[in-house]
Amino acid sequence: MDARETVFAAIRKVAPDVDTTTLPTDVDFREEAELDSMDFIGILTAVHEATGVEVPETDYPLITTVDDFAGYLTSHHAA
Amino acid sequence: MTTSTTTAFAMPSLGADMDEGRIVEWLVAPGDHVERGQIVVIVQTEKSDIEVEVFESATVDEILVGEGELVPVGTPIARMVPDHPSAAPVEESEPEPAAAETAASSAPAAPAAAAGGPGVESEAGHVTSPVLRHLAEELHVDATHLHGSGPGGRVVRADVERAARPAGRRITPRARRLMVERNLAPERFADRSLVTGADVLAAPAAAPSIEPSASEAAPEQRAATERTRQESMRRHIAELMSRSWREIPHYHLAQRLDLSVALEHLGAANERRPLADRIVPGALLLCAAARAARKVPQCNGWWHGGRFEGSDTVDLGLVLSLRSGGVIVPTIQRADELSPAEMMERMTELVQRARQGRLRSSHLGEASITVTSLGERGADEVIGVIHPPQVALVGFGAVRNEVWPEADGTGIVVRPTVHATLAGDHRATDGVVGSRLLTQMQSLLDGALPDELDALAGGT
Repeated sequence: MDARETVFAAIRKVAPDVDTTTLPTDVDFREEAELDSMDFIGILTAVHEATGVEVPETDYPLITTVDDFAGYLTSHHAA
Repeated sequence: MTTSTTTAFAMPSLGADMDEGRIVEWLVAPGDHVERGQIVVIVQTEKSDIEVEVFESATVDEILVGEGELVPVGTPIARMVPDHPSAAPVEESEPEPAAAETAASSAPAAPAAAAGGPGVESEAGHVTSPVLRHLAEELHVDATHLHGSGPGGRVVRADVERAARPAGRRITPRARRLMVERNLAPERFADRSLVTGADVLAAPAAAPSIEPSASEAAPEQRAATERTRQESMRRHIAELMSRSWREIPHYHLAQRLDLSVALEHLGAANERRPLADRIVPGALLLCAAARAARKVPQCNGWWHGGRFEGSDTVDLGLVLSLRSGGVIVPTIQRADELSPAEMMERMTELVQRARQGRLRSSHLGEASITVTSLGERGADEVIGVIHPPQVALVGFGAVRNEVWPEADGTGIVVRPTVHATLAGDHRATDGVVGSRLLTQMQSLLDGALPDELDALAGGT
């Protein structure tokens, strides 16, 4: 699955009311979709289940947008 | 069982501001046997659909109020034949049993009745270990009436888990109907022990073969229901808050809390914890508020009949905003006894359930103090309104970096900070007492809580 779609799927899982087809991929998605810190952990968990990539807290600033998050997943997936 | 007396199962009160509820869905039918703690009916309140549990094992005799009907709190909605009739001394007669039943089920003070039961209860059946008590609360098992299989009738972990296990997998009639309508296979819900209509509605649509006529009418209808509920919720929030302003002479205090120590230790603890177990700063703040309330008992309780009545436990009301708008306030029982990790689990469960409309009646017990937390994108500070009959409300703004003077007073330093506020009831306390609660939180965030986080991280 496309890395971006993986992120979208995780967002939908945590917040089913968010329409990911209209969610811009180059802005802070937590802000845009009104997701709180608990939602965010839920998303990270869903992504981890799907890809095996576990994002440490220190890397949170690197995955603020969907595009960044997808890029992060792609570059960390090799391991 | 024809000779047994029946008891009335009444529409429960699910929050201070609820006076009526609508039956959404019965999960049981006459003749069904239900276990203590089992969900029997889903009730729609202004705020959410609530899963209502029974307080005693019984057989369903008759359903008195059908799906879709709206009735006042206390109205008998079903008749039950209890397994142990002596435990519920409610004779068959007219409306009064409803009130008696609600009182008996909500009041923990039924030891006399329990003693007349099967004899395994009394002291041996009580859960004394805090670990098991937490487990029981987590699994929504009534810890005061468990059959103990350990030495001397002591309750062991397996007893709690057994009590929590639902009796087989069930799909409600409404859920079955919806599955057919929406072309969803029952296997899709294999991970659930109980499948309700809400589960089916929440499930992503299956193949695109849903008839357009059916799928178009339903959302419209649901939108209308949702609108009505929104209006009703706003009205109820307004009523409760007006009553608060009218009756309670509020005073307000604010204090900045320096989170640098707490968050540093939290970061270290999270580094070693698997993702799903990471703790958010909000959980630490709840721990601080609950424990501070324990240390300042004058703020933990209710104003009843002209005097303050302290609570023996810190049962923390947690204001949660719903994504659809409005708020709901579930309660975290004995919140001061929870570790940060346990608090995080409890928070996560409540938030998820509140969002999915799957809160249970046991999540809506009476709180002794309430916390409202604006979250990371919220304002700096919240000047709260007390939820009567409570006498205090703690508010947290967003955690942000702020400038503080350095200890020696010569310079400035930037630290993660939260503005904590207290709304106090002047009939019960003064600002001096309220201030103590706020300053207690700072010492907890600097001392006890970081120590516990270090223990979690495995360090010393």
